[in-house]
Amino acid sequence: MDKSNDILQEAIDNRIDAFVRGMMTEEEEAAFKSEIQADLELRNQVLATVSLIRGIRTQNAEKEQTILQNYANNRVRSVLLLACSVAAVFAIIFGYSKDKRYNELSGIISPYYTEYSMGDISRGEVDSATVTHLYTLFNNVKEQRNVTNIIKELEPIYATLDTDFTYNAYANDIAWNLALAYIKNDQIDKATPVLEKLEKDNPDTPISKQIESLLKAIKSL
Amino acid sequence: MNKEIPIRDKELNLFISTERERVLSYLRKKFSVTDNDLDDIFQEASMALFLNVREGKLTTLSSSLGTYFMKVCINQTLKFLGKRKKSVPLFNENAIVNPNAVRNDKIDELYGFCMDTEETDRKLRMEKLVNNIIASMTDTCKNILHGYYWNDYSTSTIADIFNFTDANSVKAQKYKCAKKFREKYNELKNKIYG
Repeated sequence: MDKSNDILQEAIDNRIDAFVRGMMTEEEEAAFKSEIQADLELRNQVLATVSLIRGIRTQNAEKEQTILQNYANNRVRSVLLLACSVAAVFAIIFGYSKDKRYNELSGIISPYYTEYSMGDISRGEVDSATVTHLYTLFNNVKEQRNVTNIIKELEPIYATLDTDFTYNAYANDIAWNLALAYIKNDQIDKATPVLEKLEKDNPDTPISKQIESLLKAIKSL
Repeated sequence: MNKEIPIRDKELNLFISTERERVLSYLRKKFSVTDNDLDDIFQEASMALFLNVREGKLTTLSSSLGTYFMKVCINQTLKFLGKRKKSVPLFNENAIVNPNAVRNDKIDELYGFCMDTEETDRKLRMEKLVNNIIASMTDTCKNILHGYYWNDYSTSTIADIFNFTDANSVKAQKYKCAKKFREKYNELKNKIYG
């Protein structure tokens, strides 16, 4: 890159600096934005620089938060030490049994996870961004310990599968992963009807055999 | 003066030891104080920081913790000079920072405007990419960018802290670091997403 390009880039950096420090007037901001919109290369350069600023700040904010939070926690801990000691015993017992249960449920469902590849998103009518999101949810059933939010997102989609055929191509995956999430979340009573319906909808298929053995495993709990 | 700092927390301990050289380097340049006295000043300032953090007084800081600590150290130095009846220079502690701090809402606004995807997964991958590139930068770049965008230090303060000739050399170096980052970022982004 020659010197004139550097001068040009430095001028852009100065404008980014003025923008993120709130030093631009509304008119200046609007003009800058419309230049970015009209010029893809400029947009890429601005995005890279703002990503850098954002990255630096996020990393440091997290570090400082850890310092301040640790001490806030220590302070609260020292004040409540006596009162907490009894509760701690219960917490340990409860935490232990909760962990034990989580491990037990995770162990049951672990052979049934499927890896969803983002390359395979061309089925059906749904746009690729939605499918990518759906696949992320499915993969997160395996990856995340707390699956409450995944259930919250999958439940309404599952509820409309019989009436709205948008997700028709993904119906089995949605039902299957919702059931796995229910089991992981210790909601066996909710997982069972989902699995039974899925089995009924897919008689004599490889998936029905998997459902049968999973149902057997959760009923033995 | 030989007070023990009751630091139990490794993050705060690490923070203070990282800040030590920066703060001392700045104070040496700005005030006429011996190294022994600077040690005492730094010890006092560290104790004040520790107590304020422990008492939960710093939950609503208007600056970064580093900038706050630098100001505490400057105040301790001025107090020390006053006690020793030495000439206390006129010093505006606010002059060490840029009067217009970087604002998260403005960053998010510009970032959202330039971002070419709505996909959460892709956004997370891009953030990871950014973090990896930042981690691979030289210490000089990290120090300058951290000082400028996180601590909101002026370029002349950064020059004093990190021993640059002047504010202009900081500006030139900051530009080079950002340029290197952009090149790496765009190269990897194109490789991954085409």
